[in-house]
Amino acid sequence: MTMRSGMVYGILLWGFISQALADGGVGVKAPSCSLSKIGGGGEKTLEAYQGKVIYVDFWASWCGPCAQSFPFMNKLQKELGSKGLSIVGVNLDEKAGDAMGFLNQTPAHFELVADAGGKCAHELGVKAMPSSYLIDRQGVLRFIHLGFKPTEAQALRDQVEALLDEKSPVK
Amino acid sequence: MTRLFGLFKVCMKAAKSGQATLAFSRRFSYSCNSLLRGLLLIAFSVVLDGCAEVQPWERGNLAKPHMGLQPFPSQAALREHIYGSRESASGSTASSGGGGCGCY
Repeated sequence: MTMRSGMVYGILLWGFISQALADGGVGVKAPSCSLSKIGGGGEKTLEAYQGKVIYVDFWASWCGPCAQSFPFMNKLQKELGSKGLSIVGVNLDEKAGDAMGFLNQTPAHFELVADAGGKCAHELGVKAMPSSYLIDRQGVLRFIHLGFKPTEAQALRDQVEALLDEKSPVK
Repeated sequence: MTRLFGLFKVCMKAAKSGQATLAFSRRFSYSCNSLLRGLLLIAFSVVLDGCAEVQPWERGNLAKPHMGLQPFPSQAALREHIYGSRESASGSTASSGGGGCGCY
């Protein structure tokens, strides 16, 4: 192996390693993400929910399984909200009107925000629609779910409950 | 870049002085090959720049029904079903008058 090809392999290897590190994310502090209301305005970050278990769900109006997941998330928020669960539905539609049309059909009883330009989705490395991210009370990203299947809903709920049962951060 | 430009001049000079016919003379082919390689590399990197990954959340337009390959998905599915059942039974085309399974 010449020095030149060694360098090329080295660069490739570095590319793969850094990609793998960037993709992981579980177990590290979740990015704060700048979010807004659907249609603009009302800047907000995930830090606003500090001390709570955050269920971040990325959705869009054109995504079928997203619509399927809404009743599940409504139920979860209703039953576990008092225990300290915050569900944040992050909309990724290009047009706010599409999101509104979807919400008329599929009511959401949890907090809704928009991620203009997909910045937050980039930071969290969203790979599928819908994607949900579970963040614990310390702000650490714990679980990532790609897509939504009704058969996996119970496992998801168990994870959320386990995170809720962990002791609150000492202040 | 200056190296590339130098090579370009050498190449053009060689072409003008009629050496183009001697394309396999050592010096000419060497310099012109590396020029070609350099130009290809530049062209390649310019073109590659236009390839952007479509992120999962940017597929709203692709998800529209009229972006589908089949204009009438249910009709196509029905036809495929009929065609498939005949084909696999008789091994003939669907138009050969009846399938071997006796389904039709």
